[in-house]
Amino acid sequence: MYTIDPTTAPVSGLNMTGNGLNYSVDQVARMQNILMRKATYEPENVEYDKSAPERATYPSTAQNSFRSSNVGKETTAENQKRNVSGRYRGKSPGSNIELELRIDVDGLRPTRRVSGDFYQTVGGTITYVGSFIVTTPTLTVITPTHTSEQERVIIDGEGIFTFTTGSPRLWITIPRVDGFMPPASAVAQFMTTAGVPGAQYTCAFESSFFRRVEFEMDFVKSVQPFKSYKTGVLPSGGPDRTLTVAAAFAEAGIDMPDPDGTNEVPFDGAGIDSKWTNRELHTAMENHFSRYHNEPGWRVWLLAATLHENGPGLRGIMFDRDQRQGCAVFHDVIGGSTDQIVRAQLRTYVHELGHCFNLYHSHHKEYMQPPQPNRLDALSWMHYPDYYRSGGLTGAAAYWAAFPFQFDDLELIHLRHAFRNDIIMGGNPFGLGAADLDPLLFADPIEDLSGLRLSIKAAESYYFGEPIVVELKLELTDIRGKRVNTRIHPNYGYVQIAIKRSNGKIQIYQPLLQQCAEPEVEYMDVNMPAAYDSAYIGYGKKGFYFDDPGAYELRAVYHAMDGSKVFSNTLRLRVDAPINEQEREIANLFLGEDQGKLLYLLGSDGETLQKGNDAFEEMIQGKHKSHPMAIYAKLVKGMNASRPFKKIETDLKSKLVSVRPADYMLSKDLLSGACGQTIAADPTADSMAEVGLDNITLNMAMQRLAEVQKEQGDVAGAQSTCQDMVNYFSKPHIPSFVQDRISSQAAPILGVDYTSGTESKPKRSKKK
Amino acid sequence: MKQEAQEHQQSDKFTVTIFPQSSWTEQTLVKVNKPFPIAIKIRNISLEPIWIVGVLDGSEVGVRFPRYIPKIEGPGYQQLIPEWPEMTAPIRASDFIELQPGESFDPTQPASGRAYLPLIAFRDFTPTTTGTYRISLTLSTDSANEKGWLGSLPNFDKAPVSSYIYKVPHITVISNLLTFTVL
Repeated sequence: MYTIDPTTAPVSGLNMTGNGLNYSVDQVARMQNILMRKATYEPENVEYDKSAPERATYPSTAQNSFRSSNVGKETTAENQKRNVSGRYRGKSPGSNIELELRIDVDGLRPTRRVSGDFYQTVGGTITYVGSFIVTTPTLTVITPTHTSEQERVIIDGEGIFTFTTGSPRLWITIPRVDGFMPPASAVAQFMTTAGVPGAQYTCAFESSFFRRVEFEMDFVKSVQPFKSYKTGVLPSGGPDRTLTVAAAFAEAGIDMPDPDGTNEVPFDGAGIDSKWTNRELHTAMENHFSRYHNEPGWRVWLLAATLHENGPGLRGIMFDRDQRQGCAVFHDVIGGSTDQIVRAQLRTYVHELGHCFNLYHSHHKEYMQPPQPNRLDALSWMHYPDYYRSGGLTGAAAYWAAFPFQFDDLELIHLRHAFRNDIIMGGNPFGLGAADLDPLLFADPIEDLSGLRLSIKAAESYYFGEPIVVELKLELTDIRGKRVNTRIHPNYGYVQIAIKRSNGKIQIYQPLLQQCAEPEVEYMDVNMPAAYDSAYIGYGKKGFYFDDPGAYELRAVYHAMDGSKVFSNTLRLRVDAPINEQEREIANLFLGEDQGKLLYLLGSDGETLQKGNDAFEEMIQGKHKSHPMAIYAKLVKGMNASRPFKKIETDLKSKLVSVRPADYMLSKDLLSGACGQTIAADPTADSMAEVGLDNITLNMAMQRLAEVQKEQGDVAGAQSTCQDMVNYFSKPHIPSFVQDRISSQAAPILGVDYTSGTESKPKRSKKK
Repeated sequence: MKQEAQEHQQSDKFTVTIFPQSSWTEQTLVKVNKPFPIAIKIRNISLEPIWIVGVLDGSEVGVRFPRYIPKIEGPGYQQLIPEWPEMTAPIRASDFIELQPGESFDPTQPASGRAYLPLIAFRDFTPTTTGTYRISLTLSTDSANEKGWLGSLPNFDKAPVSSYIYKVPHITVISNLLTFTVL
């Protein structure tokens, strides 16, 4: 479990939407004080639930009528002081934690909130740690009483955090500087509720925008993408200004520059019917979105397309609900050049991109998790004009007449201050809150300079009850070579694996026995560019991890020696439901606690595991003995028989240790059966066999079989096994250094001096 | 103003009736560019309780069940079509209403947790030309396929509503035909 608290020192809303003008911090502070003095004043009823997008809810008492556009202004006319709102960034002394701080107390539509995200730098990786928001800070402007003092803004309030914190209170100090001066830094002091100081971050001003998002737009040939709209051309509820898509988001505090250039997407991407499906749109995104990545990131793609298959009236769609990084608009529906049409284009473009920020429709807010009341009176980009209803006015005409071309207040708070994973593209899926997952352990790295890549592999599908074994591969991406801990089996704790069930529940695989071992450091370079291991992860401390049929997603993280966290690909596998009585019976033979432990331990004579051994014996000798699952029972019992078993006779006072000697005959029969069945099942497989032992386990079993044969005096048999092993692993897709390693394993038994040169390598015979 | 009964598609389960929302008589003049909203009533005419659902998003353009498809014909009149929904709200148990024999309800009025929506073509109907207008509404519940009912927003458990979907009579009913002259 992750226990970092970035707010603790190392051991060393006001509804401030007002009239939409560009507020100075003095004005905001004065309005706050007026409200606090009002007898009827109730503290802003803001509820901020960390598990949902657009989570802030509060009574809306003021309409946010937009009257001036001051985007980009950082000074106020009142006193020519620079606004303090914006994005700041800095570290705590002696810490590897960085804070991105968003201060929102003046300027355009200030929401009077402060929020931030923490990032940890370890080795070559930067990882997201967690977020917080202060929803009702107290804002004070300190006027100097002495010339040596400096005017400053104090923001004080208690935050809501995505992690457990001991120092939830935040005290921010920002010097006020003249408009022509460079922006001042903000000092953020976290403290306990009793006022005991915790961590302090000095954050330099970074931007007057709260977030920055890379925006890329492509278009289908024949489509004339939207460029800009002058809002005063038709009656509206806002000031006359020219809006591009970027300008619309800039007014919300999002720096999302218009793309420099757009690419034309071949029309045939929509298939022969010329209508786009979501799958085709996704393919187009993968092919044309230069920043496309299957990880969270501040990037979004829009395709100006022709028509969607869903219907002739569909104007736009966010087709990428899992990642929220792609949307499309359809110009067969919204195309044209009249003012009404261009206005609708602007709304459609901004609306679809709004979905990518995890914003729901105004009339769908009740379907979010947790739900909010629908806002049918919202004058928002996210509303459907037809469903607008305010007072006695309804419908599109009323909406457009009053629409100020903006997001509503709560959407604005979400855009500026939502917890990172609730808004970032690739974060939580559309409409979903935070997942049940340790935020640091499996958060995606923001930057990865580790020079390593981790992959996890398994079969696509398994019988119900079949042992789930994954292959792990740690490879070098930095060709200069580096020292690497090659203990990548989860038993050692340097690699952890998350398992996500189809119901969304996530568990971290915990091995039954954690092995405390020093790192096994090897120098990786072009001669040894990767390390492999396989791990049975079907059973561990929490019992069976795949005890329900269905889809599973797995992801591993490797903790490198320099502290970097290297994340694997996401592996998807399926456990099939039993389809007949035989499969049900076999599943029962494998899904007992004893069997789980025996599979983990690769066998044991332990009396407490007798039921498991009996089940495996039934599997090997009984009516299911020819079923492929018998391979696993043979492996477990074969490996166990190959080694002696020590047992303490507890019923004797002397506690004598009795030893059951290895049973080579039995072991040979069982292991040769398991290995032979695997090889016979899929001798030409380029990937893991769908049934049978994975390559690494097979390699281990064949080595043991050869040793057993040698111990029995069956040298010819041992040599034959080794030759089979060399042959089996001589497939083209197996890297040559792995083949070399297997050859070296076989060499002593085959009687060749592998170290003397390549000429004496065991030869790969053509025999299967 | 008159109602032509011969074009109705009847059902022994329920009737769909459309009528001017305000108190109108045949002597009341309908004028060009004056809003003339149309109301709807669904009545259980059977001897058994029936289950039914009001207008949900996507109902009016027919992308989901129940389908409420208005039809307005007038000289040169271009019927309002609501924005085509890119995603539709999940149907919930609370959206189903049980009508006792003889009981009626307005399928556009949200109440008691029912997230019903207006029919845009009816609510915002404003005749733009003079002449004779003919208005009708087709209500179709004629699908036992859950997919057509459920909606497309994520995070939704369909289990609670599956049984309700099968309780709704799966039929298509056309309302009375409302005919009037606009001056």
